[in-house]
Amino acid sequence: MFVEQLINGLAIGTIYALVAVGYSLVFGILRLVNFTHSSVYTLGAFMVYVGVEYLHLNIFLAILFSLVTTGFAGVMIDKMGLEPLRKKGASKISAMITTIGLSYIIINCLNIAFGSQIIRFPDLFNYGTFKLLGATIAWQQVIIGAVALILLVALSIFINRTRIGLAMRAVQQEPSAAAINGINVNMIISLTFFLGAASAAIAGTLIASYNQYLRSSMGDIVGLKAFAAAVLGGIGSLPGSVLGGLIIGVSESMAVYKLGGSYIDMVAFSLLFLVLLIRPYGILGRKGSTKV
Amino acid sequence: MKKKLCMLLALLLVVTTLGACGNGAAPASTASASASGGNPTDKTPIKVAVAGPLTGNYSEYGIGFDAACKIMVDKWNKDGGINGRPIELLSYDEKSSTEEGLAIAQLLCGEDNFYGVVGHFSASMAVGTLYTEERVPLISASSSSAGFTGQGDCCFRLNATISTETMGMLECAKTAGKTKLGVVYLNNDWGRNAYDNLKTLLQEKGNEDWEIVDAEEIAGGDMDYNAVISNLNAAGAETAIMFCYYDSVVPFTIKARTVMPDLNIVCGVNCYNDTFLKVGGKDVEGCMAPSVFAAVSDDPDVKYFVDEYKARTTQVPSSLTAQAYDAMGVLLTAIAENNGELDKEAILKSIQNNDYKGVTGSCSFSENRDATRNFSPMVVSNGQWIYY
Amino acid sequence: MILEVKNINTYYENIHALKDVSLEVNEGEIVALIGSNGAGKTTTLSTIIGIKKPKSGEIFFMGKNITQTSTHEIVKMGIGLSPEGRLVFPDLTVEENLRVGAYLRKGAEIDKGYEYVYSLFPRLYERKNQASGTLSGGEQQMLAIGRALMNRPKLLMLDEPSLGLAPNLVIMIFKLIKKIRDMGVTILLIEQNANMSLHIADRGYVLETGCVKLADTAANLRNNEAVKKAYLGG
Ligand SMILES: Nc1ncnc2c1ncn2[C@@H]1O[C@H](COP(=O)(O)OP(=O)(O)OP(=O)(O)O)[C@@H](O)[C@H]1O
Ligand SMILES: [Mg+2]
Repeated sequence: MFVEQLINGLAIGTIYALVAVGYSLVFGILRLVNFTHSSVYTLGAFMVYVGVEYLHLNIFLAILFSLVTTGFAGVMIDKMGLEPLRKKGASKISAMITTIGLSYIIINCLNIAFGSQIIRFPDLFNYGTFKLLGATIAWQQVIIGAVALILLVALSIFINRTRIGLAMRAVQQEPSAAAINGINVNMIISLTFFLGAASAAIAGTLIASYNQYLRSSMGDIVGLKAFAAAVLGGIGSLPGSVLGGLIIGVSESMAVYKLGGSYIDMVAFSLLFLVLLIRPYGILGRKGSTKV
Repeated sequence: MKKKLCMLLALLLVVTTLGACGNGAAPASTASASASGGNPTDKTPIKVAVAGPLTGNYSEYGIGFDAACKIMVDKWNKDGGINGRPIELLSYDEKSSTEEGLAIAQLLCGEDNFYGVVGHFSASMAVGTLYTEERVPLISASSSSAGFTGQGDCCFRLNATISTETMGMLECAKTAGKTKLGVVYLNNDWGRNAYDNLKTLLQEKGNEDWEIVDAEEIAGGDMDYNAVISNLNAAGAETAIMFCYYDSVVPFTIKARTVMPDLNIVCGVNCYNDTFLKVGGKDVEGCMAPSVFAAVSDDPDVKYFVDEYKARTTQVPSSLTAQAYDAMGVLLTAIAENNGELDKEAILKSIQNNDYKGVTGSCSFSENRDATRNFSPMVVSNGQWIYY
Repeated sequence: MILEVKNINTYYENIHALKDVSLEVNEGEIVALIGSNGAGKTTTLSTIIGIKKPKSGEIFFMGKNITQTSTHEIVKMGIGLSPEGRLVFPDLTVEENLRVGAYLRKGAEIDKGYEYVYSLFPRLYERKNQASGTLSGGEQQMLAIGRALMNRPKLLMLDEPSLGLAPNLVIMIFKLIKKIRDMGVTILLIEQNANMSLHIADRGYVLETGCVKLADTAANLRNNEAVKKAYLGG
């Protein structure tokens, strides 16, 4: 039973982690909480649905289609909504409110186009279950966890081992010094939005396939929890986001196991509250400079 | 010049007020005339209303009520109305809001030639006293709150109380021969109430036929149901009793199919609808629910209603919608019963004592104005709700 | 002439920070820019490298008008800046900082760059895997200069490279600046320490409240009474 619940928690935790990374990436670069993230996650899942249902693409092409369109949507959010504000030197609060507004616009568009009801989504990796240490585990969970983990590792390698990743870290730490080393800062910001949006799209697709349905409200709770995960782990820190996501996922399944299902939405925020009391910058976060 | 203008304005004012008075007075006088005589040449429409959420979160319910009542009223009008008088259906959007519902009730109470309401959804518990004061019959097709009919002797309920519905669900579990129950209930008043009720019922029955092996309170909606399902699995539940709406039942069922393929899932009446079947697809095959209404029935009245409803909305009517249809049937029959004597107290009495047989079965009311509902276990098969 | 600044006017909101500033730098020169606090020295460098855009005036680098060019393009053309306050990337190691400096370079050029910088600053080599936020002030200064050199700029602009350094380190930095120039890099140098900078410079400009007050050879400036009084401690 414990093993089973642990696996349940890890599976959903990796999804939280994948979404949390998006919050962290953008926060790291712009010091801005990007509240469009949860709607971009939803948009990502819907774009796969559009690809399959309306464009009759096979599922892999549909995912690719979603990655490109959603990633591009992420870039447009910055270019049209946030860059003009930065150029005018607007405050962080106005930028944050802008992201909240854009988020509503995106969700409302989805509502108008697809309605607010549950829509079935293809089940990409339902290969039944297997037994491990007496626990029944769905292959789905293993695959979702594995895909999310592979992506997180790939993202981490990209950021820590490539030239562009180095530029991203440089922009994060000292934006004014990045430009004088020949880094095109606006390009790096766009790229960050693209990566954040694309990873949200993958997370949304994984969840939609895991649940086998999607709807326009699917990002509401996940978005909040992933944000909690990012802050819990130390926003701006990639390992922190992953850790935060896993902690929240596992503590949720443990709460259902020990306390009951109605505690599920409370756990994330109670934990966040406790951790911030002890470590105001999150588990792996640091004051001042933040590291991805 | 100025004086003249003032006079003119004053005159205008007098004329318009008189006009308004006249407008208000005219139908009232015909109403009293018809009430006293039942004049067969009187063509003044008899007004009834349907109120429900046509927009907002619960719009699917209101839209269903509205369509069902229209079908019933159209049927009566085709047969010549009541005593030769046409029936006019007033339709109001409660907008999923209690305040809006109350405003509608106030508006309706001011109508002339007006004899009853079917519906209310969000405001059911707020409008009962007002209608009772105005002696307007209110028949709810959906309320399951214990106190609904207690609001006054004009409030009738053509829906099962929680206990009756729960009993129906237990019968489903028994019929399927899977009586080890895992209860999954929503963490709101309704869900907790339903669970408490179930426990009381089992105590009364001496706990012989059923056993609760696990109870899981859930937050509902888009949560990850795997953790809950693991608990049910470990407890050895054979049947999941779902006290939650279909937007939780469907996600739950999809997940349960992988880990617990043999789990018997019994949901409430609210899952007896098209959306549940459509989004649930192959996964909700085998799900059970007690229902007072079976769209697949051969009964000609049911067939007429289902065909008409499908033609107008392209959907199969839900159980609650069918109850709204019957509620309107009960109301119109009661109005017609009194030989054109449109006396409000007489109509109320007729509703109370009706022996109407509708598409949801007998619609007779108990002393405290709750309908006795007879549930049959239904099951999803080939994308349809059929008798088990 | 490698750099030509013509009558630039730069503003911060309504603060008129540079007023018709003009200056020239010839290939192979060390040119010193001196002036008291708030005179507009840093703003001049920011405007040249495109971080600030001037409201009017023009800037030419190797004959090309770069007034409206974006910073990363200007850097690509061959201007390097070791900024005021060093601005090293604190969580990156020394070597990663240098790697960022070589952002526009490829393969073998980068390795050559490391060699070049490490030979100028052996200290950085010893610390190459240390997070640069933990370096001492002097080491960070070396890193800032080294990072700017990684891109092999034709014109290197140094904003107060000796600020806050111990006297022996100051002497070392000035020796290095000469060495870098001797390796073929043109240098535009801002210094609080006017005495030292006018000793190594070929020419100099004196900036006062956003205006160029004097422009002459370094030797002449050193002997100018006004300059002596204001900047050379009497
Ligand atoms: N970001 C800014 N916003 C507003 N005013 C600024 C800004 N940066 C500089 N200034 C103003 O512009 C003027 C020139 O500043 P600058 O930094 O160029 O001086 P400086 O010569 O480099 O001085 P220091 O020797 O102290 O470094 C000053 O009056 C300063 O207050
Ligand atoms: Mg300065």
